[in-house]
Amino acid sequence: MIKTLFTKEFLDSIRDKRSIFAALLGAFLPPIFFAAIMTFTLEESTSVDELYISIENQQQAPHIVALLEQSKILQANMPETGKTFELDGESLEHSKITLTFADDFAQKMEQGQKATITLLADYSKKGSREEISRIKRVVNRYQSQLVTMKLTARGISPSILSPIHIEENDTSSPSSKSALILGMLGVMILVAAFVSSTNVAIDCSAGERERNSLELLIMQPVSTLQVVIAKTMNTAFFGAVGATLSIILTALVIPFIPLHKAGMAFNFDLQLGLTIWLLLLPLALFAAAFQLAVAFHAKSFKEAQSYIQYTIMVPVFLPMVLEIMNYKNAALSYIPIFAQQQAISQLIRGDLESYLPFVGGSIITIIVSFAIIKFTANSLKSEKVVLGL
Amino acid sequence: MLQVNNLVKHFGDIKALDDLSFLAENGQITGILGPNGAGKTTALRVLYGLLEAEEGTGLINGVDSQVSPQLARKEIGIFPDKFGLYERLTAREQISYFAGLHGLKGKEKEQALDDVIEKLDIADIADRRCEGFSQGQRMKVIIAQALVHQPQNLILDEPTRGLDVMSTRILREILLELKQQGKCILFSSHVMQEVAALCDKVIVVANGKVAAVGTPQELCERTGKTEFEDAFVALIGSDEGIAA
Repeated sequence: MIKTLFTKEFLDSIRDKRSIFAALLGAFLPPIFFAAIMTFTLEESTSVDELYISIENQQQAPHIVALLEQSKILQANMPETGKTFELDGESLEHSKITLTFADDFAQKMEQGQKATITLLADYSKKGSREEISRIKRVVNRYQSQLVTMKLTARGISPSILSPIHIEENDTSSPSSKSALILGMLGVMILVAAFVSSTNVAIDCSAGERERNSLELLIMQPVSTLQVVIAKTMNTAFFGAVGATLSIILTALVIPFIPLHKAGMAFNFDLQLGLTIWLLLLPLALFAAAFQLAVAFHAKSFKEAQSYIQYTIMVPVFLPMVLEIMNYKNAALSYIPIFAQQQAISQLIRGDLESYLPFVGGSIITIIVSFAIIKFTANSLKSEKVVLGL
Repeated sequence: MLQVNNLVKHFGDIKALDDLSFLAENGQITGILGPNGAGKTTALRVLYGLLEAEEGTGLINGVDSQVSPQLARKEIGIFPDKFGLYERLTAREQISYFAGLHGLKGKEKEQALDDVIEKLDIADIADRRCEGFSQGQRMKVIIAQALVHQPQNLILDEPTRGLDVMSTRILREILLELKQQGKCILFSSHVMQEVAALCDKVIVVANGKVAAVGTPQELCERTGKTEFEDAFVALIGSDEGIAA
């Protein structure tokens, strides 16, 4: 009986262009949206901009000036007023830093004496420390190269200058900003499970009633439970397909996100994808049961759409808030939606400790879904819901 | 055989059914005639077990549809008050779906489908999607899906609404043929000529009560009118909501 019901529901939905389109949109939009934000944020946080400084007595050290230029530290005359100056018609910001080579700089260098560079800057200015150390790094690099060459020329190993080798190993987890965005990835996939099935859910409940075929269906020798189970299976199928596509697309776009710029290596491998997929199957069932319950209680297709718009905020925004707060609580692993959010978030960040809470969470999600299905089936026995009174 | 006994049903303060009872027997076409809002559709919905009556019972072949609706519904084919086809399914898929809901499977189902499609002469539209069907075509598909499992009872709620003369005639022929086969046909209408022409027994309903029962002939005689329409008006005491 359920097979008959399901076959018809599936045929009806798969031929509905609007449902298919909505499901695809739900699947494709979140990962693309995510990739765009992530790329933008990373480019923003890690790209090196040109730094304009005033350099006095350039002719004293053309090598250093050239090296500075390679590092995008460029000479520009100090603007007379304000911070900006014009270059090729563009208005650019001057760092207000002045680098002065002493008048006898070249001469002293040649004689192997200490030569002086004066760095004039407002150290209290926001970001100036970073700018100053950029300049210093270039000068120091030049200096150490020079020393190495001089020592080598005198037959001395340059390693005498640095007897200790510091090996740096970064054990910190990715910076909080990037981790947050990665966490958002999990939320996006969660959203796909909901959004992909919304239109199907409304179409086969409020929509079917609006087209006057629900009443006739209920009048057939089938139980309302069978009807709701078939409709939930069909709706969940679309949610699951949406989530699957979303995961695949995420795996495809991640290599294009410049994660390395933030010093992050994130490997979205098959195992991670499959684990997330398994976590999402119960969620797709829950999303279907939940949305059908809402849509059946609406009077019309339109009303169902606006109800779902509001109720979908719960699964979309609450996990997002938790994600931003990076809130973790063992109890959350046993609540539908949050269980999946917590699990995916921890999987992606690579700090999942135990699968046990999530197995429990998945089982609870399935149980809650069946409770909702039962509730909807019972309410279909009421004339109010069937006739949309 | 279809029977309702002493139905009472309120919608809010409005009394929709007021101790309504009637009987539709096998081998007969029974008409429920009443003005709009008389309680015809409500009574039928109670009979299907879709609505719950506050008092009274609805029996389908002796099975109480309020107690075991699924068992009772196996014995009826329904042509509902409002019908919507699944626009994205073909006529055959639509009929096949309802055959499946009534437990038909495999070869038996295919045979039933072929039979009913042939009987209603809809082979030409059987594999077309229902969107774009005319009213007459829709009516035929609905009749086909109501008959595909060969129920003993057929209930039609205002079946001739919006049908042209040709479709109405086809429907009439189908009903007469089913009557010959000994089926029980119950059909509600507010169109008198149709009821007068077709029915063996007429139940006149007004204000949720049975106003009179009898053959069209008997009703005319009882009220001393020569025209059925006049008899009807005399029976319900008003000519509100009736179509001639």
